[in-house]
Amino acid sequence: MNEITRRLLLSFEWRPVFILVLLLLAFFYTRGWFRLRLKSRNKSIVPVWKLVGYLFALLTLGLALMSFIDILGASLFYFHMIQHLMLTMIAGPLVMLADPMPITLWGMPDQIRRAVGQGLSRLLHRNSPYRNILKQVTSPAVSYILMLVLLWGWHDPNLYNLALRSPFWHDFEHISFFYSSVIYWWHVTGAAPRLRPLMSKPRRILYLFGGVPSTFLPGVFISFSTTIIYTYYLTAPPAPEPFFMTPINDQIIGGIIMWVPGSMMFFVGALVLIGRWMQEQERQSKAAKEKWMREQVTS
Amino acid sequence: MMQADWIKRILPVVILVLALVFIVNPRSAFSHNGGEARIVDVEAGDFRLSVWTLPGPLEAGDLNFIVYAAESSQQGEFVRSTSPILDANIEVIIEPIRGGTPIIVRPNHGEATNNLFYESYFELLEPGEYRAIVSVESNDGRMGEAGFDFVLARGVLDINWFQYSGFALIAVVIGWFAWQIREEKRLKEV
Repeated sequence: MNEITRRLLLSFEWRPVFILVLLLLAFFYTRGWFRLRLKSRNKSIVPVWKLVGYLFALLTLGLALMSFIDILGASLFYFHMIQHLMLTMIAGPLVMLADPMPITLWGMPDQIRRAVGQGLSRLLHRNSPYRNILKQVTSPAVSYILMLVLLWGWHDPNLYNLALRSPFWHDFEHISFFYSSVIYWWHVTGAAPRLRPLMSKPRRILYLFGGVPSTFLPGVFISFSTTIIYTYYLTAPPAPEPFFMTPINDQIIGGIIMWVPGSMMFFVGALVLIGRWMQEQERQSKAAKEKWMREQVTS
Repeated sequence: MMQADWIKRILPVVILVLALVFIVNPRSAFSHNGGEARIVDVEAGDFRLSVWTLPGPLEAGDLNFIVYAAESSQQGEFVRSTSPILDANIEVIIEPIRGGTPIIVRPNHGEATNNLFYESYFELLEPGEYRAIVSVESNDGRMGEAGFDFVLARGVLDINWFQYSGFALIAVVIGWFAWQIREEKRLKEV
């Protein structure tokens, strides 16, 4: 590895506030996970993969927003797409799969946990107006439209260039991507707090397939474009070999990343649900068959 | 219970540290961008220079200059494929066009997020028109210089929201402390 590449890969955007927040979240989740593990007889409530998945999600957030991936995102479109995918397609779903709210609450000292728990139960009580508002603004339809609008809207050339020129809008873009992903995947994973009943598996499968156009359509449009859409990259800070690409190739690769790996997480989620749904159907039909056979024997 | 006690003591301290870091250096919470291109791949003596500035557009207050120096032998190639000059001495002289005292800043790798660049954070409070002269001197004695003019607008926000939010966070932590002390007293009484 030459000196230039080495220096670039070791570049790190030092953001102590963000690092401390990540460490606090990791600490409380890990502590809550261990406490629940010790207290509960049924270990499957807090499986190991949840802890690993949550910590990996936090690591992904850290890498996406502070490492050379973020730094190269200011120079190359395809690195910026990798960064967005890490936020929306890795960190978002993994955080929700780990069911962070109850486990993090269990990681807090008892007094604080009770205070936060009481506050939350008051806020999310069945008759609370906040619960109803929250229920409306995070419904599956709203979550889906929000994700679609944000993903398409931020890829408008004017908004995209604005985000790259202004740190405030750049952060706002990333936060909006991450939270729209979290809210979208909330309905797939059924993480707490459950404001509405979890959708049936066939509905969730459709919901996931419905998510594909959010990355597929802009990805196809960008990668087949023959002109430079994001003119910012014509005068962007340079990126050396081996990452360097001409602006048009950079745009094509970025579009393909958004299109193929960007859609993949929806398919993976849908396939897992299809598998579980089929197992469920199989169990049901087996039980029905056994019941029928028992009835035949007794008659 | 013992474990919970030390967390109860440590947590407010961690949050206070967070708030203080945020107040002293709000930049530490936010991302860093490419910024606005001022000069891109211009010939400057033995080198080719590019400069980006932040925030965009430039406003009186904290400014960030990002400098990239490349070998001039690669002239004609697209700027992004050039190889950077590392460990050079960079100096930027910023002088008001209508007269006044110039300031000198020295972008370096230490302040840069990308180790191939040179950066400098500094304060410029007086709105107006300025000229920036960027000079580069490499370890082997080669030199180059380039310049650009810029307009520094009056800061739109006179209120520093970051500091106010930091103070609010500290107030919350102090409130929390007070609440805990009251609770402990109440429990003792019970």
